[in-house]
Amino acid sequence: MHAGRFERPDGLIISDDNPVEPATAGLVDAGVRVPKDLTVVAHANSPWPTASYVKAKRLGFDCLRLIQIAVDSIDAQRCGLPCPQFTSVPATEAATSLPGKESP
Amino acid sequence: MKDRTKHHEIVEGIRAQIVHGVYPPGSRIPPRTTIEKTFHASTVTVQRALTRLIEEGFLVARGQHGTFVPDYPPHLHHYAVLMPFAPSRTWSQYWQAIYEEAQNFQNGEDHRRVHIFHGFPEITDLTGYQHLVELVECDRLAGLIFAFNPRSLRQTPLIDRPGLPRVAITNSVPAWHFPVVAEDVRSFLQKSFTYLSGRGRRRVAFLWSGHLREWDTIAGMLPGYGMTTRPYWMQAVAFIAAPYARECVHLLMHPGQDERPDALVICDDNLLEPATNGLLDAGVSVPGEMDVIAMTNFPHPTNAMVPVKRIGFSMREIVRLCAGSIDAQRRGETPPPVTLVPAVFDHELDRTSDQGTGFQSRTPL
Repeated sequence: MHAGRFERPDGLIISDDNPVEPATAGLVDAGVRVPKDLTVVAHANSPWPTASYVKAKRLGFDCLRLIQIAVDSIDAQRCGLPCPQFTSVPATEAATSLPGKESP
Repeated sequence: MKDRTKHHEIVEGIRAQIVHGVYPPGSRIPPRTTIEKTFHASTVTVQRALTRLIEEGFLVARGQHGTFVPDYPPHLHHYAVLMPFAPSRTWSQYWQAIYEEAQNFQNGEDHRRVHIFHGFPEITDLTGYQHLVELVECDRLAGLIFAFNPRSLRQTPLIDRPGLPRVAITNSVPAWHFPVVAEDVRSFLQKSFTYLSGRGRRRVAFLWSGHLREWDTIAGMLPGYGMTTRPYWMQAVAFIAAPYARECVHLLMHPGQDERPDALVICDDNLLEPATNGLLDAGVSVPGEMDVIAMTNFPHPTNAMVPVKRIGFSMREIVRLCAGSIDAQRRGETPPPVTLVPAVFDHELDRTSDQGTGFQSRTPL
């Protein structure tokens, strides 16, 4: 995203919540205006908060939901009930604005 | 039960006398009748004990001439090299280089032998670990060479057994008082910067595989060579994700920028091939537009897709220094707590006559 390139992305997907904070700090360093110049989508394991230096759309997976599905699967197996071999959990938007360094 | 105890008493007694130099290499131990009297043991028990010591390499029977300590007993000539993980296709080039040099070390003609153990420091190979502990507890090793920082092996015989020489290959000093052999990263930077400034380069980018611990050092050194860098020219790609160094370098050198580096220092040989592929992707002319420095674990070759200048560290020298440190400790000397191995150019390595096969570049262009 460094200034001085004749072509820059106008969308950024950060698909791991670990690098969200340093990656968005890099956007600030590069002088990128978010969301005017760039739209940022950041992965989030909700409700676990990750800090961001810019306004980012938080998409990810509900950890409580994942645990509930795992517990339900064990209960079903204990009761001799059929349970799916594979359960896919859809991504959802993080419910709340996360605390931290997010700027408006 | 009594015979068994007596057997161990004889084995440990004679072994300790050999290890402590009462019976030096090449000397003859007392006749069996004397041993029987000394330990108040039967002929059969003494014979079993001597057989055990012969199997361990501490004794050799020479018929009517008697039983001798061999010229190259294990406590003076056998070294254990402890490696993390095990050789595999995804193994770091660094570990592979040390592994190969440890193997080469025992192929020399000085009768030294190297036992290589894997799975440290987590001890994933329990059988190997138990064998190693047995060797340590029976004084069958000259010493231990840790190819990593053994901090997590505290409270094991590998760290706690007194009197056993140890040395670690690591750039971080362990918490114990045994010697360290480390790569002199500063000398690598000095050589790199001298070469690049001599080539008229001014804007230096770096590619690492880990945490940029040397950032302050680099930032402080570069102006003295008339060169500069930028924070966004300091890129890191973990070696397990090495293929992505290609995209990283392509991005770094992508055309259409108003300022690009004219030098690239690749500080991990795992990244060399993908990184130089990234230069090709970006259409960079090397050495026309840019010079590339490749850190190399000599003499272990790594592929580059463009001409590069190789600067690095002799793994052979590192293994040799480790063995030398252990030998010094065995002699009761105090080796230096930290031995820094200086970086060398590939052509300097070739001039060193004792480097054997020497380094062969595989640069395909």
